[in-house]
Amino acid sequence: MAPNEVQDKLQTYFEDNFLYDESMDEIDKDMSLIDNGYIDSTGIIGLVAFLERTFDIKVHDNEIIPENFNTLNNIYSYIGSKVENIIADNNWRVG
Amino acid sequence: MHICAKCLLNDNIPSVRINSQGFCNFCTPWVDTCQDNKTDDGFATLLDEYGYKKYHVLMAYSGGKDSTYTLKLLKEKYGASILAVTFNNGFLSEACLKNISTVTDILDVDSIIVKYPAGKLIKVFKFMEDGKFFPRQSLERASAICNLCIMLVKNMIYHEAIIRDIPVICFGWTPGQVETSKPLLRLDYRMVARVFDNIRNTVTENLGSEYARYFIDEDFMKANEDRMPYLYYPFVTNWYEEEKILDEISKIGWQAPDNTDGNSSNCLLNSYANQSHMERYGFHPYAFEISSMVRKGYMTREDGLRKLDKVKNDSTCETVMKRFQETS
Repeated sequence: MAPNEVQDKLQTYFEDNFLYDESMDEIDKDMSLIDNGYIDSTGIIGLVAFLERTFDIKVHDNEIIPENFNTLNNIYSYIGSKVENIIADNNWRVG
Repeated sequence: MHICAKCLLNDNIPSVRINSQGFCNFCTPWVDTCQDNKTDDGFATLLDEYGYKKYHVLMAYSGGKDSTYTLKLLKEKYGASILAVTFNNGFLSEACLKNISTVTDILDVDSIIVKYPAGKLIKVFKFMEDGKFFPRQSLERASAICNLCIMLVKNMIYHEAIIRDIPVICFGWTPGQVETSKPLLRLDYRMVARVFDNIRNTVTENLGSEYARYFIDEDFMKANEDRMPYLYYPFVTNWYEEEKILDEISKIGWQAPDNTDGNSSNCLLNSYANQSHMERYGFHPYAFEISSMVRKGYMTREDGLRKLDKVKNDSTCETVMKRFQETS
């Protein structure tokens, strides 16, 4: 999956589920989504389900931590690392 | 207003967009479906690993149809040892309280009911009713009053599970209420504490520190990090069908209350909460849950429409409004 595609899918999900009439450009990507009332525990569980099915990754319980899910940048970094791993793993298998 | 041709979401709801084919943005992507008993969800194995415990599961038992069926499933299918804990928000119907007693007797399940002072609860329900302190996503999924009540339930249930060292918590969430691919999930204590903190801070700062005891904080969670319970979602791997559920729970003495609305089978407050939400936001607070059930094939579109049509029970709604008005 291309990096742009990952970013587009995340952006659509965030805008549909947390931001509504606010655009991604207006949002401080280092702002706490939890502390600022954008997401609650049910929202986090739904986000994890979305990430698993959309990017075909496994999100382990011990990865559902503030360091990975508190801000938009946290989430981007986390997904970036997971998707890179998958790409690397697929390349290795193909090779 | 446009309504999705597949589910029941309409574009009065801020996050909903209907495309030129008539489908909403929640129906167009790939949709999860229940694995219906085909997969070992790990719950039975987890119970085995714990071996004997007085209680394996703390069931958040509302007395409604879904949590009653979940309780039956946990007991009869998995043989779990269960403590059923009910939060009485002061608005549980008489029939609901009778159902709790009857069902736990027949299933041979220990049960406790926790009730906070009615006046204090009504005061906080009234304060939070306008919804401005909840995430917008939460207000698309439930009314502000329901969101607050669920938050109080979660705080109480986590607290009871932790102090009693019960390793699993289960709620009677339908497949439409929680979108999850994980039947078993153990959340990091900091994630749970931070979500609770938001509402606790809002309530205590505005209504007084006497409300602090109804919420658990990060210090408590941190001190009990090793006791953080699993959350179990049985409907990820067990099929949900309302007709079958009603049939199954009738065998253990459950009877439907006659004074609730079309989307609650235990709580009288729900009628008022639905009405208040619809007046404020212009859409039904159960539209997301019901639409999700329709989308995933748990319910027909026609049945979903019928449920959403029963917003409130008029006389119950009036009774609740009167109690709200009498509480200053």
